Amino acid sequence: MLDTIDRIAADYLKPAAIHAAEEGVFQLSLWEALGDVGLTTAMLPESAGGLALGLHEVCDMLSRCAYHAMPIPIAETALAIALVSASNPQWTGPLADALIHTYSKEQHRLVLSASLQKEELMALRVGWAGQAQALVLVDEQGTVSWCDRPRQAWQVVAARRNLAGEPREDVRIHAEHISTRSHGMGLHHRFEQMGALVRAAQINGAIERTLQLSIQYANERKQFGRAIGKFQAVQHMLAVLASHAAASQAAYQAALDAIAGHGWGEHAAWSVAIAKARASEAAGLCADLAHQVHGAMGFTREHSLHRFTRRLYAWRDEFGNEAYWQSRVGAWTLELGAEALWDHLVRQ
Amino acid sequence: MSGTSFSFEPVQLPAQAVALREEVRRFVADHVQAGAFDPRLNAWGTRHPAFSKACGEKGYIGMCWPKRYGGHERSALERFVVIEELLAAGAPVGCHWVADRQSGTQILRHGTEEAKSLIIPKIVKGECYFSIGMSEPDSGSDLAAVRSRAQRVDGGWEITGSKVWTSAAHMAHYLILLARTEALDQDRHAGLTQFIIDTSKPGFSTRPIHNLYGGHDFNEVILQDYFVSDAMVLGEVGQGWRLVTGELAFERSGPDRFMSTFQLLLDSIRQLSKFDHSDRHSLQELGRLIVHLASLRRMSSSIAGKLERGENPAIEAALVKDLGTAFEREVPEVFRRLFGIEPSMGPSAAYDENLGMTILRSPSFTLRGGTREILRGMIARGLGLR
Repeated sequence: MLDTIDRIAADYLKPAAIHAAEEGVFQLSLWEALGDVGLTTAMLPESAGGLALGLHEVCDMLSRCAYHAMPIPIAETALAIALVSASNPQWTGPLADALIHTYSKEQHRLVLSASLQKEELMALRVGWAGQAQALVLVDEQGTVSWCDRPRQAWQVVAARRNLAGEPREDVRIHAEHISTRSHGMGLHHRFEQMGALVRAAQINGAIERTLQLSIQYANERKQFGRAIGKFQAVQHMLAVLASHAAASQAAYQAALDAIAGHGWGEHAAWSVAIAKARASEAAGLCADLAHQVHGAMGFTREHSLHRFTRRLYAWRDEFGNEAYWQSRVGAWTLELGAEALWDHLVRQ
Repeated sequence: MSGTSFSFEPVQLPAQAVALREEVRRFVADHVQAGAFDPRLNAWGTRHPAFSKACGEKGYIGMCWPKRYGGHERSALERFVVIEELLAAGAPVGCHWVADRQSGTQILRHGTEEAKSLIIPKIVKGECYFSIGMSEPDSGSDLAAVRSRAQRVDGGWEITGSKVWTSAAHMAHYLILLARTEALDQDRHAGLTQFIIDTSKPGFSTRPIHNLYGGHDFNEVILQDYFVSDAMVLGEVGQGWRLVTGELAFERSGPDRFMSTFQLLLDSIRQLSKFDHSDRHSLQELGRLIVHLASLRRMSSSIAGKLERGENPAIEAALVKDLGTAFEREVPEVFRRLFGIEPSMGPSAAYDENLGMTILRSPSFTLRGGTREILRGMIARGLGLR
């Protein structure tokens, strides 16, 4: 699967496509190429055109797409499918091809508490809403709804973008088009956790590429008559970058293992919080170090580094930044108390 | 994964790990209850001969070593469980720590039959302590610069030279010592050999070097015409560099490289609860430490898995040690800021004294066993730089 992604990236992410994507042109051919091999709907059962992949494989897939900085809503689509599947397995069939989720803290408050009364709703910073063919909504009660009539059902009122240039749009949703609803206890929290896990996966993929680019640059760029990678100061920056990359990856793998072993319970909540906190902290640090190694060259549009570092600067704040998840972990730690902490750590 | 990033594969701890944990916890709790030590003052820097002997009786030393030398032939992962439980509990394992962590393994790998049968059973009993004879006045991070000289004599070698920063040499029964057996040549890494030094023999003496807070851990070790028999040579003569780097991989590979301040972390959590520090800033600072600790533990167990599979995780160990020692140093810093108290010097487990002594100890965390700078150099080499 990872080889397939690498091949598709090589075929469809040529300089012209990357440039067009930066200008806001949706990369339909890339999207379709991924769709042709089932990756855009990877979690769906095969009967619904998917690959029936498990969470672990889907996250690895998303990590690899991030390694290529693919300018498409593959993570958001995976999240939408996961959310819908979790709330009602029957839904997955009709949604097979075109799900984009919506998520933001504001949206929870706006959509969800109000969704049944108001005629018109606002959702803020919705990923790729302008390109989406369907929106999935979740509220604080765990009610999951969806609407699939773009233009009629919702309009983009502010075409905002995150630091990587990915669409994060404010949309007005017309309540009468919110078609089906399903309810699942705690789905709101589950969605937050799934989002955090997915962003951690993506951050790790982008960090890995950032590290590779930095090592390559340090070995090629010459100053003072030798490769800058020969200088201890540069070596140490790269060592720190690699260390945080490894720690972030380890925390993420621990979260995947916790979910595989115990499902979406307390273990998952704890370990996903750790994974996203660690990834978000590493993201900024690694991006900063990569830029320091690359010098002015890395600060250009021409060099590819920004495609990865800008995603790191964006993704670290989405689905909760490190401070948000750290304070969650801190609160749980105080609840556990000093005497129970060690046992809790080794049982994860 | 690509060649540039390091992999820390997950490990499945053995089924008996759960029972083993319970056993170690009961063992430590019994000693605490009997007043043998205060866990808050912790850890592998604290030397307690009776406790080490009890560890030996319990089978917690030489766990992976062959039975014919008194070892227990258990897996590296079982050993990992015992080690991390002892460290987490703040058990005073300092007496036998070096012997169990590195010296014994080094002797089993490279020692003569005579050395193995003489020394290993004593280590396993918790009655035989080792120090590390690497650094010298002119050889710190640059270990290949050692000058201690071993001259061939009838039946063995005669060594003259000195070592410094030799922790607990005044209490140790033996040192593994790196000396030059050939004059310095083009290849600085050639002509070095490791010897087992019996501290009770003539020609061996120590002089205390007090550390910054007045403690006596460091020593200067002086060898004057010290005779060591051929039986106490490790490996082939002249191959000492390869041996010593192998020993360092063991020295750096364990959870002791991020658990030094764990007991202070626990005590700080008690303080947070007691004084109701549940504001967002406190929770965030505490949470960040726990996030780092959990990630480190995951990586550390992965290294134990690599050891179990017979791999040499020298670079991964350097990486975990670099991150781990940074974490250890952050613990007192975070709580010093949060509580706004003035840390004190003193031997008690009162919070201000424990915090104060940890602050004074913490500069050593990123020095001992290889400085942060040496470790980062190793990591960089592992990344394909240099």
